[in-house]
Amino acid sequence: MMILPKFDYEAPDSISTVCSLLAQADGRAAVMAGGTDLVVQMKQRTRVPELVIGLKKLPELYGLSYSETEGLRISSLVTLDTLATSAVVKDNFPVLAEAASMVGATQHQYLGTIGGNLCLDTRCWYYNQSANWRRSLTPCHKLGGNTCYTIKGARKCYAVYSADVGSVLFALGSSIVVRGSKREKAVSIEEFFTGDSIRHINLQNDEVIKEIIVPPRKPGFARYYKLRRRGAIDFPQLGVTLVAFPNDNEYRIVINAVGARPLRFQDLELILREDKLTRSLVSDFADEVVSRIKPLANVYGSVDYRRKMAGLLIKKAFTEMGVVS
Amino acid sequence: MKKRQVTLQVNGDYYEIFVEPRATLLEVLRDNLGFTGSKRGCDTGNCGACSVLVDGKSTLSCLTLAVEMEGKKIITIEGLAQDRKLDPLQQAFIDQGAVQCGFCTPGMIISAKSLLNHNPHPTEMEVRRGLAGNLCRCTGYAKIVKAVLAVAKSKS
Repeated sequence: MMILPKFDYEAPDSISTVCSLLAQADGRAAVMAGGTDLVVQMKQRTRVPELVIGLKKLPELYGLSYSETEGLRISSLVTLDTLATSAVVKDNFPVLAEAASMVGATQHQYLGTIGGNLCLDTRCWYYNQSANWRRSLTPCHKLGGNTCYTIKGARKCYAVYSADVGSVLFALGSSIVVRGSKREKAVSIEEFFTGDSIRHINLQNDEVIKEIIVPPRKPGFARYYKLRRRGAIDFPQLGVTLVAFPNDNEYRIVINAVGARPLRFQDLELILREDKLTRSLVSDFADEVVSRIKPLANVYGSVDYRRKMAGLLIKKAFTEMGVVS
Repeated sequence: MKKRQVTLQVNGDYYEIFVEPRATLLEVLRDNLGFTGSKRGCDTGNCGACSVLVDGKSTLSCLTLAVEMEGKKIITIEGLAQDRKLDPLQQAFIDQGAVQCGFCTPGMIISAKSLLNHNPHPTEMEVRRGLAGNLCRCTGYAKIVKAVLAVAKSKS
């Protein structure tokens, strides 16, 4: 039995009130969208906010629309189930619907939101445990201590970001509209991730995600491959996204669940910018990517297995795209 | 922390109760209202034993705050039978022998109900996917899937 810690709860009906409450709390509040990540963290006592701010009464956070000029605009409370089943998403960015349908199980998709998935906290074997489980050990880097229990002797935190939808949004070059107590701003998804496992996203204490904008679609191919132990529920051991625009000779590969943020190697993508994309070029590219990524023994699956699978999934993606010779 | 007054609609009846903000829907259903059919398993959203229908969708009540449930239509396993007649899914679980220890059964039936609400004629794979968030540690999945498919077939 895991009882939640005590907290106050507010559910404002305007986003400006949300931001001013967040500003007043100055880091001691947590924003709750679907709750599938936050409630677990609170039960595990990895997050103990004094105030929880529910967002569900904000009608402006439920929008979902597509236009050829602005692209796909997804408000932060759109659920993963809506993403997976909505015609607007499936018609324009089936890869996004596919990734949403791979998160957790049906129940998580009904509750979980795109904003929440994007902000999914980084985890490792030690951190993602109950307070009781961790009790006999001193705190790790992410919990304010100076030890790492998954990488012996590590001087920093190596917890892994593993959001499926988050990594696909990254590959699609999305931008994030963030509302703060003083202003609203749009940040590119590259800037949104810090690369630091402890504070992995660039959101200030008074800020909340308002919407996500995916640039207008272009002809091409996109797939997301999720490696996991079972066909449902689990966090990825590895995620590989291919977003390809063959007319522009542009091929993006994003690797997920091997670091504090989704990883893209733009310098290596140049290998693929030849007149004709061949299996041998893809193979060279996959080998280079595999040599760059450093999966660690902090999630399920051996390091070697996950590295090998990264190469295989990259090749599989290009084969499914139609690179056969 | 200050308790809040919340009105919950459970199985068609309204309940006005005072709850702490930290109370989960599962705790309120079991401890305040006595609907102990919804089970507390992992308590962290992995096992699905606590699933209840919220506006027709299978929802993890251990990850849901009761204060956020005002205005929602909640159905627990106790609310499925109508006029002392079991829901077809409950009957099919009995007929197919889809119950072993029984701990996962309420959550399984709720998730199956949610699946059939949204997809009345699922394939076997869709049933398996629809129930993937509900774990049965007796591993009696084959008969559970068979029971859900039997109900879907009887509706066609």
